[in-house]
Amino acid sequence: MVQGRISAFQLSILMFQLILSSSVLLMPSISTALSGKDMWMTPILSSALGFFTIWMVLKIHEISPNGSFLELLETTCGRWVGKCFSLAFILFQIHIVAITIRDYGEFIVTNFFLKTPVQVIIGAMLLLCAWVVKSGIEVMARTGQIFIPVITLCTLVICILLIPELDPTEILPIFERGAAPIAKGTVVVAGWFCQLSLILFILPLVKDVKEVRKWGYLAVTGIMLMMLIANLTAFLLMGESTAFFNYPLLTASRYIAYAEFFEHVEAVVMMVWVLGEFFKISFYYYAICKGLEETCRVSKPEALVLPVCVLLFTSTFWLAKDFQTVGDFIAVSGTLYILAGNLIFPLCIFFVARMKLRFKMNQT
Amino acid sequence: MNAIAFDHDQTISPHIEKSRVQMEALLKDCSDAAYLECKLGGQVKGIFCYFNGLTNEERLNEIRFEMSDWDIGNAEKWLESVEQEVTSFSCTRMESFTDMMDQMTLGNSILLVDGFDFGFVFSLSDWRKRAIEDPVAESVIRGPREGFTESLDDNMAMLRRRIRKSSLKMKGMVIGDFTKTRIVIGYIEELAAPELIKEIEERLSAIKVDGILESGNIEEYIEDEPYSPFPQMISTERPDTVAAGLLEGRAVIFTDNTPFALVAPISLFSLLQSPEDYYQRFLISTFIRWLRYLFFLVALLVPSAYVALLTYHQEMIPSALLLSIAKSRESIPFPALVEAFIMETMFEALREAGVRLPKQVGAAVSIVGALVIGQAATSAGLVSSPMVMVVAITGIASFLLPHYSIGISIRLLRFPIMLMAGVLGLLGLLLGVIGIVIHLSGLRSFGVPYLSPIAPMMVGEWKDVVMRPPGWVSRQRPKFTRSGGGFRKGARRKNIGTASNKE
Amino acid sequence: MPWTTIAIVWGTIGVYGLVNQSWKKHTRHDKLLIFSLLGLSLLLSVCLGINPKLPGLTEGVNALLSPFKSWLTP
Repeated sequence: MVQGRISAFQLSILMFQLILSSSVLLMPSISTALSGKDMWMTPILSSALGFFTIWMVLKIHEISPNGSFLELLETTCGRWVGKCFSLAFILFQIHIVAITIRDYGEFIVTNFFLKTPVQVIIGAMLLLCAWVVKSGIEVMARTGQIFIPVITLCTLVICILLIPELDPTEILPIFERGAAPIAKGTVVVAGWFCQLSLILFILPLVKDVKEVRKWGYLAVTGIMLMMLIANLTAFLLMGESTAFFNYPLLTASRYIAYAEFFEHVEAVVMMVWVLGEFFKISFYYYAICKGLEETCRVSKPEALVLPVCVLLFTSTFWLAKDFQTVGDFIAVSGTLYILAGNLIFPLCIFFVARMKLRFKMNQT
Repeated sequence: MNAIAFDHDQTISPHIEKSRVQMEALLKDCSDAAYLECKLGGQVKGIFCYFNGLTNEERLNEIRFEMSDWDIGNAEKWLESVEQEVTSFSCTRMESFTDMMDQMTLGNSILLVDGFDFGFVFSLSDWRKRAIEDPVAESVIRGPREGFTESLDDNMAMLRRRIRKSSLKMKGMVIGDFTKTRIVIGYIEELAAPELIKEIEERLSAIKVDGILESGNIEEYIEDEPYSPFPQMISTERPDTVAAGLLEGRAVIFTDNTPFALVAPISLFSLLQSPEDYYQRFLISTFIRWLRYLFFLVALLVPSAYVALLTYHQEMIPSALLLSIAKSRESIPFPALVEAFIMETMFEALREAGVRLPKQVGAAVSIVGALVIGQAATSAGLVSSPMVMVVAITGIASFLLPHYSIGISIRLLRFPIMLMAGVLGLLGLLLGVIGIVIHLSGLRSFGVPYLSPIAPMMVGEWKDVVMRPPGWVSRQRPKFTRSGGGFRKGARRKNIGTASNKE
Repeated sequence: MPWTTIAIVWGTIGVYGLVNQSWKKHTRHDKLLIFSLLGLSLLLSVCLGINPKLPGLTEGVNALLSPFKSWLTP
């Protein structure tokens, strides 16, 4: 793991893809199930939480020694308790990424490679992610700069190609069921936006931290726009039956047929989504390695990459056994779990640290 | 291991008989060494030593005759007057046998005079050189038709003619215990970063080898990543490419006895540019540049995409095309992946064989290969005609790349990606491409990231990537790193190369 | 996970560790961490092999947060 440094702009590109990878494909169905016709409002409303997460992360970075959240945990809660909290936080992230990896494996196996064992698909992806993590965050950022515009462009092209098939009247009437369903949908989508607090691990490696605020807000805006476009495309095409499909955008792309030539482009959707998942999984993987390196004071981080790969591979099968469990989890208790871990926990630590600082300042 | 070697550290004897014996011992069993006796001023004995074929023997004889007509004067002063006379030919002194040997192999001749314990060197080197010809591997439609030759001095002269300001510096060094190859680093002092030149010099001085025969040997030793399939220095035969690189702040490394010069540092996009781009009209060059980018991807991905689509994702192929492909593949005994491998390997073998074919046979074999064998294989039902088409398109695509080194890299990388596509379909293709991009993102050429200016992003430099900008737009000198301070030191490899056997 | 997969995966890891011996050069502290991570994974895989339905964190969290389920159902 070559220790490089990246710029705020590169971090924002990685953040952008981090959230969009899974949300563009999975989210429309979940939010339609909860919010019905008003599901398109959910990204706009929950982006407020996205902005809040960025603000909170930067505030935590300001009061952390060396800019590192894990060190803040140690100074706030004492050395050993802090280390336990760090390990718990890292375990939490491992849990989330295990669900993500399982999701990805399930997507590929059920839709495209029915006979390939899912271990092969997951193993291949994890090995590739291990390679990029070993090369360092700079290489990951540069690879991101090459591929992420391609991913965004392809997603937009798919949405644009579907315009002839869309029916704008599907979203009427607005506010049909009142505000409560929208609120529920917003909370679920917020579960995605709060994953941005993963950058707590990476902020010490950013060269120009002052710019992170500007680029972070831009990234959140970008995420919101892309989510909006993807949601609208899926919903205007399929109406309320979006809730019944696991991957609405994939189903939507099956409707693309131009001049009998440009047909059945699901394989392209798969490639685009695999690219996006690659970045999400590698980012999590890098954050986990960095977290372990800081908590356990490892002198040579390269040593950790392959053991963590094996750990992720095994924990994917332990923590996310089949799609049924994962589906239930994401829809219901998973959201509260993610919000608690990514949002409430850092917030509590922040307040405790702030109080301790004030207390110290009042004393001296 | 060897027999008793000549002791190069012994002093040259002032007596002509003894020094002649020493010279003959140094050049024992060298049948191309020649000795020419002369008498300076009719009295003092001297011997010219030189190698046949390297020296201008006419001029040597002239000098010899002139020398016999000198007036040396009386016996006491003849040491000084001989020295005076001989140095009037503006030659230099050589005090050791090693230096004398160096000079003789460069074609100069040594004069040993009775009474002097050093030798005089006369610069008379003149040997048969190749005339300056059209560069074979890099011909252009519009542009100079001069290419570098094997003579280092001619090459330096060609560059000096193009960059006439005095800030063009040419630092020389010698590498190789046995070959003592002359290497010259050329750069423009005002434009090239001093850290770059220092880094190149340090890497070159660390090479300890028996011999350097071609610039490719040097390239291997001083590259950041010799194990990568991608070249990190451009090897070119064209003086205009070298001059253009120098004007952008790069440095060139000339090697004696080879026409290929190395330009460093480079990025992937410099490998996809041809010098002709800048001589043609800018719209045409922009179009051709985009064509090149497209065919770069085609050369890498088309066989794999074909295999993946046919094996895993048949639904993506339009129905009419699918029917005709299915019809041609009906009787083929191999699955698409095996067929692709066989055809691509055959094509590579044919191409490699074509390099070595004598000219008379070459044309006939290409006709035979293309028409007869391809046709026969298709009608025998061994390969399908769509496969032949795919292989042909790939072959043409890889010829579009202007530098041979990047063409080979792509041809090589095609095979692992084909394998991955055959195993995991489009997913495997994508994983292979991601792997290549990860490798490229981490690659550096003398510290400059290989994928600049795309990653790290330098938007000001994009105009040279996206199009060929007209001259007045690209007036600013290009930067390699964002803040101009980014040449990273490569990993210093200690004692690269093997020194000669120690005795 | 079927036992064949576990055998293949751990066999490959073992062979890789034997062929590429660079792990020996790390400090004691690092080696301890590497091997504890690998040991944990081995334990997990063996347990998964014995009982493919081994309860994990997901089930735990589901059980913990089940009273809140009504908040987020449509």
